[in-house]
Amino acid sequence: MIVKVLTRNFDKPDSHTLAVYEAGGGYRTLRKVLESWTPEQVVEEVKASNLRGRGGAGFPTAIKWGFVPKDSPKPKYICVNADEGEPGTFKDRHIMEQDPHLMVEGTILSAYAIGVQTAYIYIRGEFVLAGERTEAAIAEAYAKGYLGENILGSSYSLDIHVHYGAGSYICGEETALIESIEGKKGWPRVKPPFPAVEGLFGCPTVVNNVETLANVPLILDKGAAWFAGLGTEKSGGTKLFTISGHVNRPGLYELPMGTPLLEMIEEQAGGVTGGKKIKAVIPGGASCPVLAAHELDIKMDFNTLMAAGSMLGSGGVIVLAEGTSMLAALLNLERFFAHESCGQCTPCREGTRWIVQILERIERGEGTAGDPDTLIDIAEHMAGRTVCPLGEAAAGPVKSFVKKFRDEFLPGPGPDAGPSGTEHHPQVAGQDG
Amino acid sequence: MQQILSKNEVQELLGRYPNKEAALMPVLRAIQMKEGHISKEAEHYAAAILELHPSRVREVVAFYSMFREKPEGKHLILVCESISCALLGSETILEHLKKRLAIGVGETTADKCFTLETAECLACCDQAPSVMINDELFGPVTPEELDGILEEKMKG
Ligand SMILES: Cc1cc2nc3c(=O)[nH]c(=O)nc-3n(C[C@H](O)[C@H](O)[C@H](O)COP(=O)(O)O)c2cc1C
Ligand code: SF4
Ligand code: FES
Repeated sequence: MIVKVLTRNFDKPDSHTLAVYEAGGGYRTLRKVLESWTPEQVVEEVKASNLRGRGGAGFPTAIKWGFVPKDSPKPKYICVNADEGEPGTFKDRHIMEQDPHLMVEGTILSAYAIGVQTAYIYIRGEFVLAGERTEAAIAEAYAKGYLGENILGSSYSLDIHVHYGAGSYICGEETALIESIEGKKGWPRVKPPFPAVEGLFGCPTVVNNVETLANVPLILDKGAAWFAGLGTEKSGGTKLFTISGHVNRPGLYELPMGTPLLEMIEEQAGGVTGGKKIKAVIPGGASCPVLAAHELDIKMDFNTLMAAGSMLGSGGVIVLAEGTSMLAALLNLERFFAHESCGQCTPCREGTRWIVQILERIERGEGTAGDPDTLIDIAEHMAGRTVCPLGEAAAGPVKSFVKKFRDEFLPGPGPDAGPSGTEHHPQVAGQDG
Repeated sequence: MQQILSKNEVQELLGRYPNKEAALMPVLRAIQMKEGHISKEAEHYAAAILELHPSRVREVVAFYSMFREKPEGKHLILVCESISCALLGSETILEHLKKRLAIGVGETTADKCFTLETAECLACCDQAPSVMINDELFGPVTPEELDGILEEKMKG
């Protein structure tokens, strides 16, 4: 069942403009909060709403805010993570293109709650339209007194700056993102210290995803109980799911947390192309362990997917129809991780490279019976031994693909190895390209 | 040393951050927008205005794939190679472009019209297979449609 809460403005003409946003009640919440709420009340309301981070890890948002020391003499920062680069995910780009003011208002309200005077929106360098519209929205907000000194006549002041990335997936990781804003290469930092204590420019910093912050105006407008009621017991609100791969209607769908995966694929995305069967689904973007066909009767929320050995991640649902080569699909994912590894930890840098080499060897028809176990072994040595979770993200697909589709990683042609004789190696697209 | 950015442009970028160093990425971005790429001289210029050692600038230019170290074609073609596009035939698109332009990935046509590159997920996976040409996204594209788009670009 589609619920248009976050996306309620998306279909309106000129939805990205201030006029349309205000006509739909935009910035009303900001006015109300600045007039009559303390920052503590904002944090309490967000806590009661069960809002959990939409950037991938699902960490409770208000609890993260609570880690920021209240009495620190240093300035505090909020960084909006608009680096959206997880393959299969395209929700934040839509928010920025179609309703950038929702993100801006959410950022102002969250900054007020944490006591921040400067916010940075870290936008992926490739996002041209999203960047233009975000910058235009910020300019409109300044002109109307929603940003800058003494917002709406209150004693609260905030500046928002845009900082563009330059083509690096790892900069979506929060400490790499911070390094990148500081003008450095995107090497994740060893934690602790956590950004809440020592982040941007050595100061307390909160990094939140675009979608996370876009929920904040709704929570403060309609109340925590309403928001919590839209989701599951442990996770409030709706979720933006992006469905891609072998489906008839790929796209962005706003659905309640906990919507069954099969309902999403069948009803929203119009089923599998060519009326085929589903072979597997990557439920939350490229780093989430794959689900095999018999595991698809599942509710899409953080806890259920975690219990099933996968993750909700960023909500990027990638559907693989029968006929897809799992070897080629895994090779594609691992080439991505090998390419995007920043290279500072040996298990990640070397592990991703070895995995790609072994998969390429199997693809050339030179695999050995020991390869599946070797792949799992390498993956197990990567997970948990690295500075940032990319090592883990690269390991998860390897373990799940190889365990669930072992035959396809053994010598000899797999069941979906592509048309024999015509192809030197199988394409990910399988037989029908 | 040649001034690439105006004083005002530099001041505006510096004003966003509490220290000069942090303005490095926006300064490089602004240079690239003006000059199309970041030359060795431009790296030294950025280092000078931000009071950084040139090796710091070098490191950043080398790390980020969008900072281009050499001039390229008038139109930069990025073919998304990530999973959702691969499932819908990005390999065919890339092979077609290589043949059509008679260049490999990372190369520029002799007439300096097109540079061909691959990209990771462009966050428009619902329009797979997708291709970005300069600032514009195209998808889902077929080889035939791409031929038409390239024709247009060659005229323009
Ligand atoms: C390799 C890697 C890439 C990431 N990319 C993104 C991203 O593009 N966008 C995002 O919001 N979070 C990304 N994250 C998660 C961030 O580190 C961080 O957890 C998130 O921005 C926190 O926001 P939230 O609490 O609102 O979810 C990434 C993490 C890792 C390890
Ligand atoms: S795990 Fe990989 S990406 Fe993360 S810090 Fe280590 S080498 Fe870099
Ligand atoms: S996989 Fe190509 S745009 Fe996402």
